[in-house]
Amino acid sequence: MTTTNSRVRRLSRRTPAWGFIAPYLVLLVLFGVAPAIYGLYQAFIVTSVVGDPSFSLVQNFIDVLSDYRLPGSALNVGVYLVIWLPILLLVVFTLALAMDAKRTRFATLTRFVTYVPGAVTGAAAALLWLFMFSPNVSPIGGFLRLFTTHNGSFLSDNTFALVLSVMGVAAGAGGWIVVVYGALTGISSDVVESAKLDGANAWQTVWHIKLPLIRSYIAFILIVSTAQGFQVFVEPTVIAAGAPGQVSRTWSINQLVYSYATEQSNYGRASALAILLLVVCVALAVFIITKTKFYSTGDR
Amino acid sequence: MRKNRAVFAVATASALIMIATGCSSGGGSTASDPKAPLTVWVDADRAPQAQAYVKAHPELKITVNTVDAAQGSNTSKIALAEKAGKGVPDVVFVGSPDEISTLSANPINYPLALNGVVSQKVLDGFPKNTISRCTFNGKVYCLGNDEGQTVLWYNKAQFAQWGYSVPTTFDQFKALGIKLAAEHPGYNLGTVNGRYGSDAFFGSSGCPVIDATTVTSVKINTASPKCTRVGDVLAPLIANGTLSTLDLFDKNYTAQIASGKVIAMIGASWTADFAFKPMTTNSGTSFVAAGKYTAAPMPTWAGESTNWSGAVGGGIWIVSKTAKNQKAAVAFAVAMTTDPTIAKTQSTYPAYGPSADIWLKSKASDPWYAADPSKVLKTASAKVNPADGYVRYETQLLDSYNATIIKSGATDMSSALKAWGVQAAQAAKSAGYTVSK
Repeated sequence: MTTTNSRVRRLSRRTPAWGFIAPYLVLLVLFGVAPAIYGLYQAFIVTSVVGDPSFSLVQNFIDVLSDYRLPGSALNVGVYLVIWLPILLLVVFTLALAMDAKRTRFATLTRFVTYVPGAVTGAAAALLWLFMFSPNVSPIGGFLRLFTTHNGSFLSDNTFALVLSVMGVAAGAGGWIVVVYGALTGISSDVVESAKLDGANAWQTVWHIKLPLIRSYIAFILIVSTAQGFQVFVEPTVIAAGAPGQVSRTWSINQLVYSYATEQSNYGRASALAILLLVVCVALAVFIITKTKFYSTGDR
Repeated sequence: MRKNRAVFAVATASALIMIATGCSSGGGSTASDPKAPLTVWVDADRAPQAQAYVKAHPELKITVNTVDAAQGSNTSKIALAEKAGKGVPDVVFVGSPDEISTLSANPINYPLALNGVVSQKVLDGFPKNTISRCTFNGKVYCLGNDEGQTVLWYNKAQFAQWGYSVPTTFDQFKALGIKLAAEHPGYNLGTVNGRYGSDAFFGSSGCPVIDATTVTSVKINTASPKCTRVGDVLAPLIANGTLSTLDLFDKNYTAQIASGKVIAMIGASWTADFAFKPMTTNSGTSFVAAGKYTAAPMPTWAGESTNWSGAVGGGIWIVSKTAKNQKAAVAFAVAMTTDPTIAKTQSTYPAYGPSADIWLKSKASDPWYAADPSKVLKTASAKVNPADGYVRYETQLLDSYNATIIKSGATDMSSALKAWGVQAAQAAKSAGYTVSK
């Protein structure tokens, strides 16, 4: 009797919560979980030119891992991440910490100004940057011309990672600056003050007090940005259109997935590569989470 | 509670899978229903002709959808429509004809075999090469809308002024490029990026990279003299800048056409109408193109007796094998390619012989040309190199062509050719072909 009562009470307490998350849950299942499961199923279906499709646990994975385009695409994405991620983190934390250190009206303005480029997102941003990197119309055209290839084109497989990094930082930093600044304002002023009283200078306060306290934000930015970087697709697709025939159509790994699905109508291989991409991103996320003790609540 | 949630999730997911997979099996119908409506997909250039047909046939219920003509776009849309089980077009115009190879293979299997449905007399009216490229396993799966046979476009006035003679062999073409670079630096003889190099130059030479013998076997050998002789011409001319490596429609290259820097080009039949004319009209430069350009026969490759053409583009019409009103669908595709009234309004060289004759009349009297190009175009249409075929890895092939031969800037042509061959073979294998030399 008592257990039933407590269960009913617990249920009634949970009902509003369920009500709040239900709309999201429905969308998540319909457009997130179900397609993912369908994708997993597709990854084991092998399409052959002649004959019926067959089932194989490994064939599609072998095919995509041995594709001659994969090493190039993986290298491109790797170089992009290596350039983009550190610059992004450096820009975000330098600006946010500077704004936090001097909370003036100028800082508020800076916060707004850095956020503006981030307001233009996705394909529109890529289109904007396409103009920036076209020597004939760009305000920095003269500078770009110093780096053009033998045929007078600036965009090529070689410059592409750098171009995307510049674009990624400009478009992505603003939003994160707002987030990190918000986290910094959440740090109790008592802590910072007592650090100062103990003789810590500004740099020591940042390094030993502020950064450790917003550790989970660093982890969060890393996880989201790494996943974003690995899946880069819209930017290379749109920007490459500005230099037809100069940049590979499968520059990034996700473009290779797209090539399987659309150009080759091979959903099995597309799913297989997408799953491999997911595995890499999840593994990295787990690594970051364990290294930064992302979920630990105490001991901070 | 937790268990219930898991059960619910699995149930939902499996129900969704059943819905998704259940829809993917498209049933084929052979019976023709004369009252069933038609849905056709065309690109923007073909829309006026399709609309005109709709007006002329009020008894039919035809929906004309103007769709994106980008490479691969139609194929992926049809594949998705088939997966969804609805929205599959009855007739489709495809601007990059190689897509027929993907459309006619697993898992799409879209086209209707036209043998017996379209009269032999109509089929015989098309040039042999367009029919043979549309043929897979002995069945014709597409009708050529237009042909992209290559010719040598050149600025006749400029050639006369500088005392240049029109090259009739590619050795002369190469010598002309070397001379041009020395005497008039900054001018060029066209572009070799992507299909403008792979299809026009390597294609006309018969370099075996897309030489499909069956639906599952192809010959690839970039060490063949038919490839290396192209490399020998391209390498010095790319190096001295008389062959550009920019795409024909790259802003940096259209600027060169606009200012008259392009004095010749191995280009498709549509090059005058889609590049030289529009790019030099209201371009803001002082260059006047009218009355200057015309077509000359393709130069002959060393060791050949025929001056073969390449094929750059050339759209096709495909009828769905699931079309409910099959008769009307076939009639529509036949009208688009063979109707004499439609032939007059075509924007590109019609593939169907009698239509081409009608279309060429307007070119013969067009004062924009320095001389009548019609005879040259007509002759070239019958000379597209038979080593040219539609393959399922065309996109990858062009991408690797750019990544090897174009990207290297012709600094080391023999290793670039080798690398291209290796990638082409891998792309072909990945697309389900057995590769032989």
